[in-house]
Amino acid sequence: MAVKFQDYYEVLGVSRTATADDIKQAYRKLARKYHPDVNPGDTTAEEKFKDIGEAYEVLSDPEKRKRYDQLGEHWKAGADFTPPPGWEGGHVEYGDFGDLFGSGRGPGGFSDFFATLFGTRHGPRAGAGFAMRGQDVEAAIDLSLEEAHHGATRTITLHTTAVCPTCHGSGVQEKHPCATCRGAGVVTRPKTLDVTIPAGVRHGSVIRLAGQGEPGTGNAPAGDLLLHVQLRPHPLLHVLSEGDVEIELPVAPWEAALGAKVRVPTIEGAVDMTIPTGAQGSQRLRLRGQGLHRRSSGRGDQYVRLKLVNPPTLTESERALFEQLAAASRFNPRELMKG
Amino acid sequence: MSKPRAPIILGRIEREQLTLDALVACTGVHPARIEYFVEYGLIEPIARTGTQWLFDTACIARLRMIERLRRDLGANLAGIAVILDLLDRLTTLQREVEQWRRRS
Repeated sequence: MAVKFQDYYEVLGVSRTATADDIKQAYRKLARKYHPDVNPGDTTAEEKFKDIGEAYEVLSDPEKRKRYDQLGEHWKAGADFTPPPGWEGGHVEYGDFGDLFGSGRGPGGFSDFFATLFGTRHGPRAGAGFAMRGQDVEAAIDLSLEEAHHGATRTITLHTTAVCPTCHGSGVQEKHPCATCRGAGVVTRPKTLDVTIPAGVRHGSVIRLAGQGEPGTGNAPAGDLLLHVQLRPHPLLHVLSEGDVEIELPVAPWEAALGAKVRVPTIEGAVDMTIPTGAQGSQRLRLRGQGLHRRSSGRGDQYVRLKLVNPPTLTESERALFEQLAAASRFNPRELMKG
Repeated sequence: MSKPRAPIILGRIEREQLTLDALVACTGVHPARIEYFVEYGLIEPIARTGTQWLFDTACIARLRMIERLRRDLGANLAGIAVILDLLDRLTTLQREVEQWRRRS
């Protein structure tokens, strides 16, 4: 099977004559820039980081670099590649880039090109009686504020590795590397889960699904699936800490001056609220217990920040009334300024 | 080929509080190192019952991130602490920017 040629020198941005130090330096610089943890939610950075890791894996190891260089310099990145006759994919043990977020590649996280050249991982897996807990898989789940507050059921699809159904994890079939998994013993496959999100999760909450991660080797248990909750911003409610939320409520000048009963939207629908007589713009009122469900128990509060809004255009009578008020009032708001 | 969907009830699991031992079992990180991380403020226990620390499930993800940053970037603890703080600030700022964009 033809795979796409990868130009490892190009990936690291070094020349083919680069020294080991040049390569290390280039790798460090790029790894820092594209590390998935430093670029949360950026899948291009994640892919790039994997490419960089793979390139470094080959070029930092004199033996692998030599083998790679033997291919010659006429290959172009992305060209269909078949190994030259007599090329034997060794079973080299290599570093582990497998526990990056949502691995969409072969086991170990390296490309098919890498597997063709250097074989798939046959390190710990081959040892009899070796047992290692499966990797944890991390994924993000997007929720609206309402879903986080009330709880929700979501169907999520993840790409995880599973034990190869053909060779049952041995990697070998009739003395040849298993064709289904290319000798890795595991295959990548989508996995669909119905997940019930409990009420009261927050941005940054992590939900753990024990045993839903990567399978373990030997008799070791599978890893966990860690779901990172991400809340989409709400159009009206601004989330504060401890389950408290804030909303900006437009009020007319006369409502603020005379007091009023108004309807205020909350996470559980509109409620009545009394604006006290003589309320000020930007004053903050509290609706106790109308916030989000708290992790422990009870609900947070909703703060209502008043925003004085004048009618965009005044009718004849409104204008007349304002003029009358302006003439009658001796209130000078600038007296409140302290300088 | 396709297996039936596995329904999972999370109500119980989400409010899970992990003891130090449970956190060690989940992450494979040595307890002494976790204690060191707590001392350094890289992870924070949510509660303490007697002499026992209790951790939030988010600590599992955070610990894994700490280990990745050490392994992939060769960052030391002080460096990781700065990275984590900056990332937290970045997330808060991004959310605020998003909120303002929606308001205006």
